[in-house]
Amino acid sequence: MPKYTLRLKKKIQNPLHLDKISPDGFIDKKINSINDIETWEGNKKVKLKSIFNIKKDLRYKTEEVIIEILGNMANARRIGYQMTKGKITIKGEGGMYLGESMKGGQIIVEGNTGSWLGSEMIGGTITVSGNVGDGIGAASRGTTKGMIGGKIIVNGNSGSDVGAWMQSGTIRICGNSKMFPGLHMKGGTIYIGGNCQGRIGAQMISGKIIISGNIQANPLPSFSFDNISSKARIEKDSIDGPFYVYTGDNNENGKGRIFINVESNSQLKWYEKFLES
Amino acid sequence: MSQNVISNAVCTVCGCSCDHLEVTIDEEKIVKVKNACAMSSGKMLGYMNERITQPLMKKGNTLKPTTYDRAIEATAKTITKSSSPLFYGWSLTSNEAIEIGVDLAEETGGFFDNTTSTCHGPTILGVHEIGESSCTLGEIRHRADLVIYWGANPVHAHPLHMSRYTVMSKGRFRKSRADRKLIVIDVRKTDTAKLADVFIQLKPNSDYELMVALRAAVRGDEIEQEIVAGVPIDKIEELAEMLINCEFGALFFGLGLTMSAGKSKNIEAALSLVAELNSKTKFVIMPMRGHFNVTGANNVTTWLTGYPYAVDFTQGFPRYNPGETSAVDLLARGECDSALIVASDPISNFPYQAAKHLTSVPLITIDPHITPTTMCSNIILPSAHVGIETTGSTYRMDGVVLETRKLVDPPKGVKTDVEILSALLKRVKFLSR
Amino acid sequence: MEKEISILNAFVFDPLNNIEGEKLDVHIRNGKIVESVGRKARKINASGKTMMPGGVDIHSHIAGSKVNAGRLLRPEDHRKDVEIKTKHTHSGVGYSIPSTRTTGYRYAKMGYTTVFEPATPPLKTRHTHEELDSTPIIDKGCFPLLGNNWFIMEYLRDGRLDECAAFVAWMMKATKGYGIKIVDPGGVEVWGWGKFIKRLDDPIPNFDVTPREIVRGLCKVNKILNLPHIIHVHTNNLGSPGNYRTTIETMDAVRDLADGKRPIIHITHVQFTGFSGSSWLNLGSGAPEIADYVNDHNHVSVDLGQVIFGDTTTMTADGPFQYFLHQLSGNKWVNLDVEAETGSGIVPFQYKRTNYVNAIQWGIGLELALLVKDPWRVFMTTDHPNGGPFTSYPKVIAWLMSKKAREKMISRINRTARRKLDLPNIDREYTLGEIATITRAAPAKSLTLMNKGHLGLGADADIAIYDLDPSKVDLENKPFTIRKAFKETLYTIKNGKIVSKQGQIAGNSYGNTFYTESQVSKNLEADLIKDIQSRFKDYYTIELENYPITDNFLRNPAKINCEAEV
Repeated sequence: MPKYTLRLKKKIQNPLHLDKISPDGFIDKKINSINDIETWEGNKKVKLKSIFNIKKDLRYKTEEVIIEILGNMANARRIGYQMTKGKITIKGEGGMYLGESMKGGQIIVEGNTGSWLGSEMIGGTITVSGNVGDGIGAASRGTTKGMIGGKIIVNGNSGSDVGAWMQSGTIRICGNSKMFPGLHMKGGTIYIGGNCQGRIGAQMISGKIIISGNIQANPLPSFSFDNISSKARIEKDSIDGPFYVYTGDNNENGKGRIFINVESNSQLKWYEKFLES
Repeated sequence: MSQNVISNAVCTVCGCSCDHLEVTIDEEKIVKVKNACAMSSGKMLGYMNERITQPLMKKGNTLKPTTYDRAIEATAKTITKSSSPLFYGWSLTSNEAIEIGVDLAEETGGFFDNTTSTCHGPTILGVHEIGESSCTLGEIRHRADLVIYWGANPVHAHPLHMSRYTVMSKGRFRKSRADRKLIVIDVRKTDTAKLADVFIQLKPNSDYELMVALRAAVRGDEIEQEIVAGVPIDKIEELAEMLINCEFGALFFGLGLTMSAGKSKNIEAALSLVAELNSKTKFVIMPMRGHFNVTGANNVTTWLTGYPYAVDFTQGFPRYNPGETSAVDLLARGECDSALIVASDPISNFPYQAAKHLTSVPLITIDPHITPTTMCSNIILPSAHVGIETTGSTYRMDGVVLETRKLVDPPKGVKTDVEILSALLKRVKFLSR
Repeated sequence: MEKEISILNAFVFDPLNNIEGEKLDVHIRNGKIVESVGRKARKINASGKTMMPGGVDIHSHIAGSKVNAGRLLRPEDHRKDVEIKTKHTHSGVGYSIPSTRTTGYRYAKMGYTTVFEPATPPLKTRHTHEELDSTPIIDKGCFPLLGNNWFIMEYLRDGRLDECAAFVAWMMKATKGYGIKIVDPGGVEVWGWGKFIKRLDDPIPNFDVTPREIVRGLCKVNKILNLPHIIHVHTNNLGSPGNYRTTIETMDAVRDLADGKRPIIHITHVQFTGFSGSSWLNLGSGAPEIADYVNDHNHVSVDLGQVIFGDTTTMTADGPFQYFLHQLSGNKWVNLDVEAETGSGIVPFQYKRTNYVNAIQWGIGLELALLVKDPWRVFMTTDHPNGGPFTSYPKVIAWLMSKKAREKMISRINRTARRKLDLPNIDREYTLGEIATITRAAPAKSLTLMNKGHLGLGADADIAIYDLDPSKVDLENKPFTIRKAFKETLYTIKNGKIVSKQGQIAGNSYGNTFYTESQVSKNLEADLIKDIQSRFKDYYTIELENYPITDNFLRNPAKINCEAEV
């Protein structure tokens, strides 16, 4: 299978809809056809060749189609939309809705991305070296059905609403996260390696959230302290604690669990009184 | 000189849409207005202040007088050529004008957004997820024995709200103030709070926690924390008891809730609390809409496109995702290449980055008055005031539609929004064919 | 556009004129059906095709406050179904709550030319008209909700029938409404307190009038005013197991008021009030009992409210029921009560074939249609979008016309439901003539729209031409052909103009909005106004002067005058 390199050839000012850029969309296509793929730049229909210099590297012998995008895609939407296989690498900003509804394959971003990364994801993996925006792995407005599979790994920080309405899958934020991780969560696991602004697991029904850093305040008042756990699991990995463990969201009759690192959260020490009783 | 007194005129200031104004006209000017609050009087008596009375177009660095035809032609050419024109404002004009605005955005493949996206946008985002238990204002007047204002200060922002619709009003089943309880929840003791039977002062940016704790208390769940949002738990539990034991409760909320930390999630929590309360008693919730026809802007846009604001027509069909398709975000990312602003002043109230971008693209404004936005515009089309100088329909904050009146003529030669926008749409269609 | 058209050689189904499948030519001039036209008339060769009058949908929630609240509630509903702007048509969104333009286009594509919004809260009816005016092509009207109105309940409590009639006449004029709609009589007022009522004879607190008295009172008022449609009733206890009894009780409540000639009460979406059993576990179909009653009593007409499996949005003025559905399903919920008048509720819902209750519901609607003998008193609806989107009508037609189609679905529904329903044993298959009756002729007759629903001389040239050759196709065995044909006309003609051709909409014309004005005597009217004036401020939060919709508010008003008996 070939590797395609797409080099951005101009500054993008208008919204750019690149949902046709996916390995599924490129497979078995000649380079001319790919150049002629139409997309929207603002309200103008344009061909990919007006935006990118596209090269096909036949020397690459892999089992899957690889697409490498070079340039700042901050204004781009939906690269990798619904992809089922193959690999996309972006050297630059990844844009919004990157990997929305993807079912398989891999996306790697050497840079930051905007919001709604991996929204309603079904499978596959997304790895981002930099920071991401809000609503990663989240449901679209009103759907109440978010990510149902797949993995998202962010080495930097994230915005708010990580994994909102998530049903399954895993999200790892190695840096800090803004508020409302796991909002309305129904399943799956979220891990935040750094600090979190708070309001963890708001209205969650089920699932697991693990926070290694500081959460600034108490968990929400609709969560109940459960116990202290020495470790927390995410997939096959075991993360060293100890962690304060809370269950909730009680307001939703939820049975989700939140693991909050003990050492990073001295403000939660008072919960230990519940251990004595 | 004979005066003409028009009764039952509809006010076009805030979402209360009071329709009992008595307006005295003398020599084709409004000289007196009765039954109006200070804001309403201000508008009714000051509508001629700082008016623009002639279309203006920038030549070099100066705005020069021109004709409507020329200004409309130049506008039509600009927005038809644009790859991502923005059409913003709409909350201070009529439903009829808004409908044409939507069609303009659709015809040019642009973005259509109204002031909701900087105001009660979070409310709508909350409703998408949770729903909303609500009613018309008369239901509250008749039935509510408990009224909460959360993050809202109607004494100043909606001056007649309490006397017309809530605690100071007379209803079929609640005859006087003594029949009702007023609760105010805010980060500071506002003038509304001074009138409350119960005032809860919470820590700034902790509305979410308080809402959650209140819901837990309503449910009868144990809360482990002793203080939430700076409020002791026993006070929260007392408040919950009041809510459960009322016969009909109403929660009004304002920007204190939509614009503090949490935003749409604050509203989700409020909507969820009210939905929960309906398992125990009757409870409703209503956002205190600011601009007189922002509710109309939402309704018109929704029936035409399916979505209430932040609509993207660039691909030939409506798309919607505030944060991506909303005006502030588009502008902050530099993604609009022209803008038509109708009955709004975004330069005054948008975040710096967004306002800055607005000044860097062709900017056209339709407005009655000189504003910072008109001062930055390339083309200005002066317009008449809806509800004063022209008729038009408007939505009250609870969804009731009223037909406003024409009380006086606009300044000579000044056209209405409907006239301007119709002419513009006609030109745009011609240029696009 | 041509002023004269001749449609030649079609198989015509025009039940109001007793035409069932004859090959006829139909001529149009200036928007009307005429005897003949000139040689230069445009000719449409409709050989081997089926022609019917344009469809008349008597009950479809397409416009107004709760419909728009539903659109706002469900951005996710819109994302999956979009309409792209074309040269002649606006863009929009669809699925269960289409935007207004999409609504008009989709109805026109299916061959429908008249649609009625069946439930508008009077105080908010300006909004309904704004949306109806925004809906292209079709003619329309709306029914103001009166069954929980404070003035009306008090007049009826006090036995002031004439004043009540005068008030209703005033209300029709003020709202530009068409007919009397009653939803959960008295029940929505009680829901104003978050409470529920169960029985027809339970007095409404603070008003001391019963649901039965409200239905009877408004039935009498309807007669007094000679309104063109009969009272249109959504009964109490919708959605409750065993509620078929309430349906029959409600129909029976006005039996003595009938004149024996025509229906005097229309019970709407009877599927939702046709449940037997005492709980969800033993829910059954009350359709046989209801059908028996309808067959034996000609004072009643009904429409189906047929369920379609899949995702949809429920929305009714029955606030208490909608709250109950929210509790049952856990889905998001909107409630909108309206002062002194009514309420509404919205809940997204999914009907699943494998769900016992939903499967029974699906069976009830079809059983009702197949067991009621008189096609002039049973109309096809899905109570859009409550049972399913109106774009599902071709499916319903196929189920009615083809036992084979029903069997296919029956084989896939919940097994226990399948065993419980009578539907598998019903052989009846609707003819094309009967379909024409229940989808156009009968609703038009029920609405007394003299120029609609038929192709007689002088009728409005509202016509649907379907790609269906009844002489060649064994329709009952070809349900897919039926569905395909009714999904999209070859031609839809509205007021003599081609508005849709094979799914392509020709442009944005706007139809008429029908409303009624029933003139009571001047004295009675004067007394009424005095009475309203003295109480209006106490009941409403807007001024009386601002309540009536002005005459120039509607885009294309079409008034129907009636003469009241008082």
